[in-house]
Amino acid sequence: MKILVMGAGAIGAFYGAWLQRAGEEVYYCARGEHLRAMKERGLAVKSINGDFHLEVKASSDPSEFAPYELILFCVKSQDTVSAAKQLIGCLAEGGAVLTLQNGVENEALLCEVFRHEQVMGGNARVGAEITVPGQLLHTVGGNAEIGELDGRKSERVMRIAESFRNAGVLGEVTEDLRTIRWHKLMGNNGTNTVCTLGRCSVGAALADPEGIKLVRQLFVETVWVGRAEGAKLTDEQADRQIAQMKKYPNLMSVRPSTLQDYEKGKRLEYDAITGAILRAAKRHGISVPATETVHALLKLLDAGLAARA
Amino acid sequence: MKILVMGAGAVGAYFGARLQQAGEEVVFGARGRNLQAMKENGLDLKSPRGDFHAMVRVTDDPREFAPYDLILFTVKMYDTDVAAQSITGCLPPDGAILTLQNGIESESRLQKYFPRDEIMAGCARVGAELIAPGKIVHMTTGVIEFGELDRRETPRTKKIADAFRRAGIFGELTNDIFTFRWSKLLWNSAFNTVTTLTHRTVGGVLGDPEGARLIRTLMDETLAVARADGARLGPDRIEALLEHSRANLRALKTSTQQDFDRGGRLEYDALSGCVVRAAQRLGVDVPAMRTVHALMKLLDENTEAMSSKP
Repeated sequence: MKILVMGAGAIGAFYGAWLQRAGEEVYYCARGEHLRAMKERGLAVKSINGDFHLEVKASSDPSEFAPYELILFCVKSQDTVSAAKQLIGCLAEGGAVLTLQNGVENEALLCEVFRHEQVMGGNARVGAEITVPGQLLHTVGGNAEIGELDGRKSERVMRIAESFRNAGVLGEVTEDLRTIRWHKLMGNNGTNTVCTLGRCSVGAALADPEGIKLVRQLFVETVWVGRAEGAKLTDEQADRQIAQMKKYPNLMSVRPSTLQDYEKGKRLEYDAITGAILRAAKRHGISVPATETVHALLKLLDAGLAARA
Repeated sequence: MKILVMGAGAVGAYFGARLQQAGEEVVFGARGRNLQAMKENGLDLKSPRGDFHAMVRVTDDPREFAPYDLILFTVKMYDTDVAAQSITGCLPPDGAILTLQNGIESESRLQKYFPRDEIMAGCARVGAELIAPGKIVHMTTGVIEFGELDRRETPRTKKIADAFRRAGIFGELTNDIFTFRWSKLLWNSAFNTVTTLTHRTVGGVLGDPEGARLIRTLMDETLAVARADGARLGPDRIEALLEHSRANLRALKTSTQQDFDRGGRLEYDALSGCVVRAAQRLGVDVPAMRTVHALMKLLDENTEAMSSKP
């Protein structure tokens, strides 16, 4: 399958590398130093499942190698619209844009640029990081959950699933994208926020009694709002998620993407996480005081970074 | 009056300098590089109310120059026990220890080391920064409000008030010091935490609509706790604090933020921690304060490893 990774950051580079290694024809769209490094030296992968190196075809212009049967859409949510516009005309007939971004609002944004049937969604369940340009560090997980917006097990989604399975990174094909997207958002709302503001790993946040209580509170607030939005989530899932995270073997070195961005002085992807939850909470009249607090803090932190940039 | 300033950080050094300038016999209790610098070069204060530079008597063993008529207790809350242990037995029969620490828990912590009638409670209102060991920059206000724990006016309160007046640091003699402390906490527990977590100045926070709303939420929560604890404060106090902050404190970097920038330990527990504990004791819900408190705790724990502090 001919695949474009739109945004070869940690998530994009991870799925691109795994799919390419399994024999797919993968192209990477990136920018700046990272692009230069990948073009010159390829992509160096350090993974809990073994290290490897790949020569890659990378460009700053997604149309360079178009058309593609599949576009893995992995840019930060604040760049969704501008990146999507760059992709106009890049899809092959019957092709799909599959967003693996954080948040629950990107599918709708993509549908403003692409036809509804061209858009698919999914969760990247992976902990990874671009440590230096051209180098990917994989710390935990790897499976992707993918699905059609209407939940059909289409021929297309099964074909994509097959590629992911061959690459060893298929979680499941979902018939309920809304529920799994909100479930992922729950994780983001607890860990990306707390770890960025506390400048700590997921392990450090959970090791502190106040930290774990706050993470749980943020999980639960997400569950309340997600449920009002039609996601099939229960309060117990918050506890189950914490129990599951505690089983990560290298929890003390798992650092959410927003913390990574903060440390690199990049803009923070908070609006797709806390902002999305606040907007939905407001629609349903649900009180989410902890989410509201971390949202305001991240907004202030981000605006300060922007002013310095 | 012979006075020990226990803790020569920005607050202690400012008041100590003014008292020495006014002719009181002042000893400074300090540690580490601050002690070294003050021993060698004295204390250097830059202030809109007049600079002060003089050699000072400074020690890491306050018993050396004991007894003292008055001890101004100005260490950070997390150093309370170590500091208190080093000054037991330093007071004569009619002496007093006046604590200017943040929060409302200082007096009960000190009662482990001093009889209750030796302890007096105060509230420091001063904007100052320790910019280098032995060097203080004073920016705004600079007064002490204080009183006896049992609210009486005593011969010693009068004597101390006179000394403070001569030094130009007298704020108010009050029989309701905890209202003052809560009022200060109302500001500190909101601004010190939020500015530290976001690296923004007071003006930067208030200039953002979500930031301003968060500050107000935190202040509302603290006010509810303060009132439940008996403080005579109303919502007008919040308006006054916000007004004052917008008008005069836009460029201010809070003390906790200064500590963070220096890689030092963060005094959050005396602020957000104090509010959260009082809220729990009094049955008041403070979800936003609980959130910033947990974040400050994580920030403190996880930046400690990288810091250069002793």
